[in-house]
Amino acid sequence: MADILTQMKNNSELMVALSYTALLYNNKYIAEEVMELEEIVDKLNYEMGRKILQKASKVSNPEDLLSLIHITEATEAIADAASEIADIVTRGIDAHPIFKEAMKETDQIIARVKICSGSIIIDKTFQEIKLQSKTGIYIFLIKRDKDYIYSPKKNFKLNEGDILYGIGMESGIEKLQELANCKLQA
Amino acid sequence: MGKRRKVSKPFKYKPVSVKDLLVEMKDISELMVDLAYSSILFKNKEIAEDVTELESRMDELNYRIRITAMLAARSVEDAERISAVLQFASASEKISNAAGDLSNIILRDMKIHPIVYEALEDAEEQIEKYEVSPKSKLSHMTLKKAELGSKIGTYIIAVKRKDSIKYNPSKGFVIKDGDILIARGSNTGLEILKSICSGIKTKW
Repeated sequence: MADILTQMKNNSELMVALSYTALLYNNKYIAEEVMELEEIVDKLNYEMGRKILQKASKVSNPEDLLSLIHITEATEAIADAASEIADIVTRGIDAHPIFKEAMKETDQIIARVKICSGSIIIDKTFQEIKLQSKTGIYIFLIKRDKDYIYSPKKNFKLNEGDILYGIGMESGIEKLQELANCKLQA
Repeated sequence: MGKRRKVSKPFKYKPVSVKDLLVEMKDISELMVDLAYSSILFKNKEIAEDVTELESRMDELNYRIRITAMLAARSVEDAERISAVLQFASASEKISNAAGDLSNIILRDMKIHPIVYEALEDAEEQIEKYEVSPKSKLSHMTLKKAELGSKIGTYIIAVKRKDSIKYNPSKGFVIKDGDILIARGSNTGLEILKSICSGIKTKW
């Protein structure tokens, strides 16, 4: 039961960070990741509710479970709110100039690059390849199958098939695509 | 940051860039969620009260973004497109309210179930606080020079100095001995930070 709540917490926090990033950079791919996470959190929330109810019938003082209900609800609310922010991006509404203005100030864009077979960065850590100093791109998220790794550490080892999300200048992104031997770009 | 604001002051409209508002709202909402969970983990009312304080800052930012949005609408088409801004405002308010609900668990002295602690302690990202010893290399060092984020994967989300707490300290922030660092990171990173703060570890 604790593991379900842990996952809810991890995912909801990730969703908040990603939803704002999606909005700030007007990036649909990241917004879609938030939507995927929202489905996961919904399921976990349902599962958590079920477990709390089961437990309530077994404990002598069901009131003890109140804090669990509170935290589950708050976590679910945070996840919901994050998906509402991401929804603005996925719906692709023609943004109002005041939003567009806000985004224009930065030259940085979001890169989304998949590591394909034959890439020289497979099985290497960030430290080994010095990705940030070579490309100027900061990798803030890695998607590996169904898992998300937010702000990966220097000793994180890259695999084939990993999807890298980074922030940086356009010129650096081409360099990153070269290193990853793949062109999957947002 | 001082005591919890009892009566909310009326907000005054000041023109400000939407980008600045968005970035600050992002920072504060993430910080609020972090602090709310850590107030539970540490059973710390001070941190819980700071969440309440930040909630009123979020209310103010929300008010500003709404006013900015309304002032920008000059036609039906404008108004339709501006609805996205309002959707954002309401969503960010929800995040801040949810963080407030979490910290209320502590402020209202609610009994906390052991499963909650088990869950919080197992989370990928942990929050810990450490006092900087006079022997620590961190003393008199800027956060930029300390490179705690890139070197050991821990992020200083707040620094407690005497009676005040500095949230989201900037890179130029100079750490002093006696400061209490509230940091976020993995267990391994935090263990390293602990030995850096105590002065046992001098290189990282």
